[in-house]
Amino acid sequence: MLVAVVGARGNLGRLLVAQALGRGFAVRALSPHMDPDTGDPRVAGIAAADDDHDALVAAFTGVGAVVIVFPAAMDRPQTYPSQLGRVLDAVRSAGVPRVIALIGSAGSLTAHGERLVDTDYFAETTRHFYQSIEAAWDVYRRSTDLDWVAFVPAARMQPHLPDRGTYRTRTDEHLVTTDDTSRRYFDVSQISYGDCARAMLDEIEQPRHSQVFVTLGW
Amino acid sequence: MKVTVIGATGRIGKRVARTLVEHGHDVRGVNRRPDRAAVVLAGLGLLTHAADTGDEASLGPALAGADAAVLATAPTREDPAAYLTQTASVLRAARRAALTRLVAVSSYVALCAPDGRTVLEAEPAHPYFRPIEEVYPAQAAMFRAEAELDWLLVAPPAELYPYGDVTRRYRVAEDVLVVTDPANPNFKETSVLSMEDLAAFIVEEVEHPSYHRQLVSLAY
Repeated sequence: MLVAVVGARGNLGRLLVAQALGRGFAVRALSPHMDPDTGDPRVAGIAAADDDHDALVAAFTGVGAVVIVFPAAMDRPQTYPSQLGRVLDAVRSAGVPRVIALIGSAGSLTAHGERLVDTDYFAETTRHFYQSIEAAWDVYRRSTDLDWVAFVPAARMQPHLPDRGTYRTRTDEHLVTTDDTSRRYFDVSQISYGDCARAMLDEIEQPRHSQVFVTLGW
Repeated sequence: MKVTVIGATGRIGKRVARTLVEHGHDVRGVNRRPDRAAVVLAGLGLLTHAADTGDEASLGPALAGADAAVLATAPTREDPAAYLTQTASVLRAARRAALTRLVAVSSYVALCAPDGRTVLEAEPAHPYFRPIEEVYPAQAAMFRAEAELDWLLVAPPAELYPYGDVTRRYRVAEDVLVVTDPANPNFKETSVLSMEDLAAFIVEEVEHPSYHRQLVSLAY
């Protein structure tokens, strides 16, 4: 299997590339400032930004799946939905059969009937950042012509959380938690980067979902 | 007591306002947007003023006759300097109203790290957040120059979480971030507090002041 990873230089992107190689995949690793020489013959480094349609189409042509994990830019979060839209346009042009994405958990629902972005975990002054992530959910909802799966990580996903080798999923847009009676979402809903990457690669190897948000947690 | 909470619809302000009301005080809330006050403070039974905190004339009526005030606003990305204008305006209005106590919410970025450097030196902010974080040390300097009022700056930690319990098991330190593991390179993550305990401390310092004219860190 040949996969393209968009956002290959980030915390999650690096783990995805490493784990994909471990499963015997070949990888096209994309990032705006990617070094073409990755030091590994199985990984082709491709420097391409979301607005370089031709470069993206070339990078996506012939792959079995495109994995999209680039985050919203901190200094211009409002452009995130249109950035995603441009990457998906290139997916269409290249005729890629499958998209496996990661999208922030701000838009997910809680057992208490509130969306995570509306809870007191988010300050009024930073809410606009998370609202742009929520808007990006709609980009996927509108992509009814593509075979996409968007993984939504737990409320807390931090680099230093050690992997457990397990995860649980839901398909009703609700956070996966260990205790649905608690509003302490960042304590009861957690996942490591490594286990998140594992879930995304499992979905590539054994497709189980399509056109749905899959929330993910321990 | 008559207490005015400035920034009463914020995550900290609304908890402070609620606790003060529960303790039987005469509470007034100040915020920019009356529509938000109607939603966030519904059912609390407190008087709200829609006021521009940066405008002393607008703020004056909300502080007139008050014994104490709590300042719980936060800087915005769009105009971080406005926060300092607000601070100056609040200090002037508080002097004019002859408040006996002013408790303000600061941030851990105004403190020193366990190794003695400032938090901002020990762990420089992401460029996007730098303009917001740099106003906190500047605000602390404005308070330190204030000799008339009995003020207190309370710095919550980075790991400040909602929906917790009032335990009062926090520790208090002057100028230095309270952490459980100073040697941890992620020392910030070992400085933890619930918003409920933060509000409890602020209310206690309004009712029974024990720290005066200093910046304190609060964490478990």
